[in-house]
Amino acid sequence: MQAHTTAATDSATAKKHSVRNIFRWQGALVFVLLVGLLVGLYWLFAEWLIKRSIEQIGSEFVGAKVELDAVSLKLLDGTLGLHHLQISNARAPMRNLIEIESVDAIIDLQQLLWQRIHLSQVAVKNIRLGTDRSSSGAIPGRTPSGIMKLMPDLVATDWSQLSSSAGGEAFLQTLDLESLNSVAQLRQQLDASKAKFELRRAALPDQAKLAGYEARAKAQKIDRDASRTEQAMALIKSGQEVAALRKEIKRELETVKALRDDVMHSRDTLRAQYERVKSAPKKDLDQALARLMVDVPGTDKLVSGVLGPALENRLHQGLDFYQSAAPWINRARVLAGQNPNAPPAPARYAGVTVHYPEHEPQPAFWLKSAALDGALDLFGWQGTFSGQLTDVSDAPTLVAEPTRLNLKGVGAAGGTLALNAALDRRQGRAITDATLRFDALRFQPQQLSVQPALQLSAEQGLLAGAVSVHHQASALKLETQLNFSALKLKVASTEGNAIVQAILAELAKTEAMQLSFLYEKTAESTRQELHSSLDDIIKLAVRRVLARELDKKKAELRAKAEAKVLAELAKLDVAWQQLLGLEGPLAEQVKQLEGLIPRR
Amino acid sequence: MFRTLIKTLQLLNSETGSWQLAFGASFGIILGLTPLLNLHNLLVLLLICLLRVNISFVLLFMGLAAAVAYLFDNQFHQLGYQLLNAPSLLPLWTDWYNDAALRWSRFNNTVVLGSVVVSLILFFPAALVMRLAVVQYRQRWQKKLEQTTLMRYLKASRWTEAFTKLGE
Repeated sequence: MQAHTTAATDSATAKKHSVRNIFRWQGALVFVLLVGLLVGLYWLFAEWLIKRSIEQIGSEFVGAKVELDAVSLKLLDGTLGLHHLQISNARAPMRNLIEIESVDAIIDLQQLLWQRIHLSQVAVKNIRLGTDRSSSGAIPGRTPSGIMKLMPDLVATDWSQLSSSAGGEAFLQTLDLESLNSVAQLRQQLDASKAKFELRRAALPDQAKLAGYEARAKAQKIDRDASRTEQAMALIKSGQEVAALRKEIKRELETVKALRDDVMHSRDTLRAQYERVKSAPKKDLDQALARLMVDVPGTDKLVSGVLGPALENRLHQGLDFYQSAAPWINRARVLAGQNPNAPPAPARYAGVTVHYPEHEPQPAFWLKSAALDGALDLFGWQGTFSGQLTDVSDAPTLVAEPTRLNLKGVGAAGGTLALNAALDRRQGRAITDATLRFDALRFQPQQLSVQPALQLSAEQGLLAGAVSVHHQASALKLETQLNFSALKLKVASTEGNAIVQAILAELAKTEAMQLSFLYEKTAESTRQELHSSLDDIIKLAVRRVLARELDKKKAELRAKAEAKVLAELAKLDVAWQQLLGLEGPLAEQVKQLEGLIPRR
Repeated sequence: MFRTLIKTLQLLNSETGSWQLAFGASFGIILGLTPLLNLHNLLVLLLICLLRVNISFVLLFMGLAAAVAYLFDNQFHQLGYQLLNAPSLLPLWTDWYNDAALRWSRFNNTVVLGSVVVSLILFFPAALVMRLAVVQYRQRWQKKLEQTTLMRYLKASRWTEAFTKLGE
């Protein structure tokens, strides 16, 4: 019995030794210490890890430095705080895109146990845009990415097209007045008549012939000292000779008179034509210059060609931004883990995380409500804003309400703005509705363009209007209505062209302008309507300036044309006088011939 | 490296149990092949602390396995993907997914699940092979190795002594 008891005790002791050989209970203490160390380290470095993650992911996102001064995580209280967040502008590294003083959030700890981040109340304080940085935010070797990569450069306006004055010169060169042609034709006619008359006049008796007639007439005188028979014989002979002479002279006289009558008839015929042609150039010139006027469709086309498309392009670029931002938005979705089809990275610890149906589905990220406040300094308008951002989630179908952003702003110098935006993705497709209304926003002096060809700045102005966007699947509707008033524009250009300078001067007088734009795109069609009073203002300015320039050109043209007319008329007058000059010699010749006719 | 080699030889030559060395190697393989910062490795750590396995061998084989683990990540991913999408296992995964603690284990990650399954499959075979190797070494190679000039030199060397002290 005792032996049996001893054997049992030995067996129990051996078993105890065997268990001792397998387990070392003091290891539990080591394990607890190790786990405690791990938790302690995580506790110690959690804030640093969050800070580093935000900075790294943010920098990757914008292509420039994202800096966070501090993170405070109090898991027991369920609060997370971010202090002084700066997101640099990759295109202007010495400025921030956004600077936020603090973000304080309350985390739902129960959801955190399920690896879900639900932020029930968030306060984002003092949001400011475009602030100065003390050091450069550029990352060496990195180019702008995300939104900064997609921001278009300003389009330079080419004003050189307006500087050409070749048109007026060409017009002057090609000016061809009908009346000047008539003058030339009349002058040619006068010259031809004169030549014909000169030819006929050459055939008339010259001075020698007239002297011959005179000699022959004198020779027919009867000698009173001769005998009566001789006188009678001489008289008979003389009578025949005189009759022949008279006949000959009268024939010559008829020829000269006929020529004189032709000249006078021609003169009388051409006189009316001469008077009409002489006064025609002035009327003709008046009519020709009157036809030169500012062609409204032409100038509109010019304006549309030079300024209109540039303006439209800028607006189109703004619209294209949304489409071109699609890859960037998709990337954001991938970063947020929303794209399960994204290929796994081939590095250690990678892989695909598969998600399964949840009994009580909840979004992995849900920002329930965030109060926002900050300051804005945009395009010279300074003011403060406040509002709410609600229901931002990675699983919108699980959230009852769409994401909404409501902001109200008040300008430092008066004016208000209100933004109401909603993004509804609950039906599986995104429907965006946003309306921005603003009233009496007073601008500070603002440089609109620094191009040497066009330095445009708004010294002051008030802006009112609304911008609304509705986007659903492939349909996009954008409506913009901007009303500028109390404008004081300052315009300058290095372009020395007088026309350009005059247009700029007209532009500088602009006090109010309106701009409305409608862009509607569906799967079937695209509709664009741009109405801009700026366009009208510029068109009007162009018309005014062109009219003024035209008047100057007309005066020059008139002077040149009149000089040309006067030269032509002078030639005509010479020809006319020459024609008239034919009458005198002919009359003289008639007189001479009549004097030579022997008396009976 | 030198210290590790000497330490390993010391362990092999010591009176440490062959099972202790073998299971130490197997646990090391689990730690090395699977992503380290995961909940399942906390359980492995607990077992390592509680069970009388050789911690030096755990660390040695964890290092060796981790050095080659990335070569098999693609295979782990493929296996994990097949398992996570196997229709017959979907109810199990769904139940696990709806458990907050199990979700922290990242079982639904293809690489994590694939590598854990492979290392668990390898656990006992690796232990058996390791024990066999240790026993064979002690019976056949230990004395021969101790008689080599290099080992005698190493044993006599002050440096070796210093290194081994450091490792203790």
